Amino acid sequence: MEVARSILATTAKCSHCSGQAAIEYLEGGSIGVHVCPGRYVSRIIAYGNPLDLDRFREFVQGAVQGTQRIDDTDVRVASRYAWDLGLDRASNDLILKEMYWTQNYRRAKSEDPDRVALFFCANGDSFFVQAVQGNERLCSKCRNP
Amino acid sequence: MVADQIRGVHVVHAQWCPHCHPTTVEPVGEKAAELGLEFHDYDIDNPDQVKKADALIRDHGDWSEDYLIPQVFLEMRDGTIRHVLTGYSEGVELTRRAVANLLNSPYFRGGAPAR
Repeated sequence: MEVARSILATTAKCSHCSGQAAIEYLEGGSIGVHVCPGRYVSRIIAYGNPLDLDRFREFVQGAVQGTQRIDDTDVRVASRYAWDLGLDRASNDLILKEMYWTQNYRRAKSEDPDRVALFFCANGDSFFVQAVQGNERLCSKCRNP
Repeated sequence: MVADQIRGVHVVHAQWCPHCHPTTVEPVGEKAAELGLEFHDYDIDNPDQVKKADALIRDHGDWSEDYLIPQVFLEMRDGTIRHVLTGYSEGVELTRRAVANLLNSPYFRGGAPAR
């Protein structure tokens, strides 16, 4: 699992700022957050085998703090095998599954420049929401300790 | 040998998807042709093909209502279907690498891995 996660730890172009979103981990590494230097969250990913859709949906629902409702349709799944991860294993069975939630995608997509968006505190342990063009990089707890 | 075990390759894709074109459909199709395997692709924007795509993914693949593409399946000579790849939402480069890894795996190198 650890090796697979390191293969998946790639940077991605951020839809918010066109910068590079890097991955940061939560929950002992079972959750990954793609976050840009401005702390905008482009994607939340769950890793495991098996994975619990309800638990992940509830996790994301908690992260967005009531600003939107997360449905099953907002979560997409993928199986990762030894052969596509490029792992040299005697067994080629399933290595892990991923679940993805992508911000501002499909059903929830909005071009409103004033929309509320999800950010990840620069201290790396909590989510917060602000206007998509907001400049805060810290959650309110870290701003006002 | 791979030809003894695999009858064909099925790919679910969309024309607008950069993880699908030219990243997956073309290299997988070329490899299938090289090995003399049947090749079937299903465009999710084609009303006839999406029915087969949905059925493949619901029964054998990574199903969610808004499922990820591409997804690649092998049809074995005994009639079973094996899901072998789903595109990587993390980025096209990871999908490209995964397709290359798959095409270099025992499935396509000569002999399917045991399950």
